[in-house]
Amino acid sequence: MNMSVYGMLLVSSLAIGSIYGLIALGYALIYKSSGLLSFTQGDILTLGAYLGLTFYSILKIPFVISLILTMACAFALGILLEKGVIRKLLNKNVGAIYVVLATIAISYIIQNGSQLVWGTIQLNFPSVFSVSNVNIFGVNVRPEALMCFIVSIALMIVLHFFMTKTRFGTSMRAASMDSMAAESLGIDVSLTTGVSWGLSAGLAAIAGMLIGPIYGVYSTLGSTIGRKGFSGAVIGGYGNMYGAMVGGLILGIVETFSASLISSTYRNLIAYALLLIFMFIKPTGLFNERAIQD
Amino acid sequence: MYKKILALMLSALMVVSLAGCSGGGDSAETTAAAAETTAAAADGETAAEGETAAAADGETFKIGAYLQLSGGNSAYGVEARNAIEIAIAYVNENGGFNGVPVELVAYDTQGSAEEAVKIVTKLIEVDQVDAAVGSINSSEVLAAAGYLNDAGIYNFGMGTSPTWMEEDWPYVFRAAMNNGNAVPATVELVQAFGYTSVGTFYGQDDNSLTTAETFEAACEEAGITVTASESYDTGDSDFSAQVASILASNPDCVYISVMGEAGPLIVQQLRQYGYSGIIIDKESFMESQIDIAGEENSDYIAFANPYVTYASSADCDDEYMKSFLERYEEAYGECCKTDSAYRGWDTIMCMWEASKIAGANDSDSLRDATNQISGLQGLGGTIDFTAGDREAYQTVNKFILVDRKNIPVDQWLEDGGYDAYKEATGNDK
Repeated sequence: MNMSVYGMLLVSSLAIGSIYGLIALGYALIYKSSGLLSFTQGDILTLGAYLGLTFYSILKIPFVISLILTMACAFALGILLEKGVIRKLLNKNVGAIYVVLATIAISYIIQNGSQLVWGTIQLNFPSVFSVSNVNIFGVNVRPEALMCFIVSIALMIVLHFFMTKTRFGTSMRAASMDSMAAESLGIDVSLTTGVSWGLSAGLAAIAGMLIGPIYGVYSTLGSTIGRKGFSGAVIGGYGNMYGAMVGGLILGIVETFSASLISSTYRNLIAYALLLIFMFIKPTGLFNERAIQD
Repeated sequence: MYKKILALMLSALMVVSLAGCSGGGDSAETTAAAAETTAAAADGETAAEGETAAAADGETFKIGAYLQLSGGNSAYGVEARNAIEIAIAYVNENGGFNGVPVELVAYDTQGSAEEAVKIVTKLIEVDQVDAAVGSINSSEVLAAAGYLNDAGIYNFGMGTSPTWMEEDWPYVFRAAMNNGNAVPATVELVQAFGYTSVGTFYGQDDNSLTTAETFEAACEEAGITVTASESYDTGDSDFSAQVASILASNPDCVYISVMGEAGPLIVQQLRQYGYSGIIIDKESFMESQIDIAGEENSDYIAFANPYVTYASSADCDDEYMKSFLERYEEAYGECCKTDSAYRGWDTIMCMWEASKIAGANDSDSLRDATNQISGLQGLGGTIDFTAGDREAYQTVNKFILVDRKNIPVDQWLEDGGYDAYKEATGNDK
């Protein structure tokens, strides 16, 4: 295998890894803000891809505006889910397992609802760029793949500054650390939790719109990616936002290169074996997040 | 508390994920489990052949259908059902089955072999159908058709896998292609282009895997080297690693044996990685797939199949096919995008022909009459069951897709298409 093939593999693995990272970021945000686990991320990714396709391809709205609209819709959906379902369940003092099950139910509703609206035939998401390939150091790279990586990293940086440098981000972090203390200081914990769910949904939807032009859009697009994103979150350290992105990237690189260099038949086995290894040897993940260990 | 739940969910996720890694064994396990479940459920209330015969009470001839009508890939089942409905309407307009109007009872398998078995049990026990039409998904037919056969109910499957027709099921027929039977013609395609090596890419589902294995064995016999053999799991969307490995092995051409939704993604990623050579597909590259892969990526895909899909009836020159497409467009407002609609139409037409030959509508008569059908016009050419293998199509046609048109390969070669391909792509092969 020559160097340009390795280069192409690297770009592909970074593209898919950054998508896992975005999904993992969503898991981390939800866990950090509410201590809960949501299984809706993969299907919100699918919904995002469909929404993006509708705005960009059907309504002919420019890509960047379509991306913002898609994120806004998903953000609203995330808040709605938190306020309309999750919060109501928690107010009934049900066990956390019921909330997790509710998110599984919601994921199926989103998936089937998408089929109802957009049908079950796979749809083509048109190219965003006028060129199909760009040559970087002798490696043919699809610009959409590059866009995935760049936008994901940019979002992680923006999120970092939002969480650490803004008043609202600080409130969110405070609420996640000790909600009662945060409330006593006047922080609207309900609002910060709702925004966390909204942001998570927004990130998943952006991921969907970014990969739509690469993989097409279909109703189960986010199923596998959602699970891989979860694994990425655990590898990085469940609940750690930086770990989420790094974990996603590592997973993308490991599965892509192992599939090419070892065997494509065992691609998923290798990817999930990595998850198991981390859970047994370093359950706190690369960023030493203690969510799982204690 | 939350952390315990998190640990619990992680364990569940691992189990689910690892189960998903088991590849080809997956479908067989599911099928066996489903069969066991249903066998247990149906224990003690096995359908008697007499009961089924009694159901044919002369009021209507009831055809039960088990099709995937929801979930991913359901477009294929939906189009098959649409065509079955059109065909039944046509049959009823023309006298029904020996004067008996035909009625359709269709259920959704949701893409699950287990669900297909439950539905078939219901069709036998509750609906007491006179005949049945099976799923587009071969794994569902493999799981369910045996129950219909054991109940002595005349039925057709619409999947294209070789496996379920290898069973000794005399009541089970097929009016669609057998992917296994198309393999020799597919190997001939490779040879027609003068190629001596091929890289293969296949899915882990029963049909894709079985066909790919048959193809690789046939290549070996024909002296064609398989330079790389790569696979993917259902649900995967990134195939870059497999594509890179295949291209690194430098084959003369690439063979793909994949399920509907994965096909266009693989073609797209092959082209994206710079492969501009000929792709050999295990079956036709349909209109729905061209829409996804993009017209610019869908050139030079060659395959052996009885028929091809069309953007509209206006593009079709074959009179019989054209009349079917017009009928479909009139009923549903657009042309069918998959060939599963063709399978649905052909299936009902074969059943109708059998009823004419038999002059009776009971399963045994229809079974015997089907084995006598020959020279029947089908959408993919002449239908002939007299070989005794319960297969309608004994021959396939070879096509190559260029500029969104499916051209017979012999004609394409004669017209200098191969030279034009080399000139257009810059490839020396």
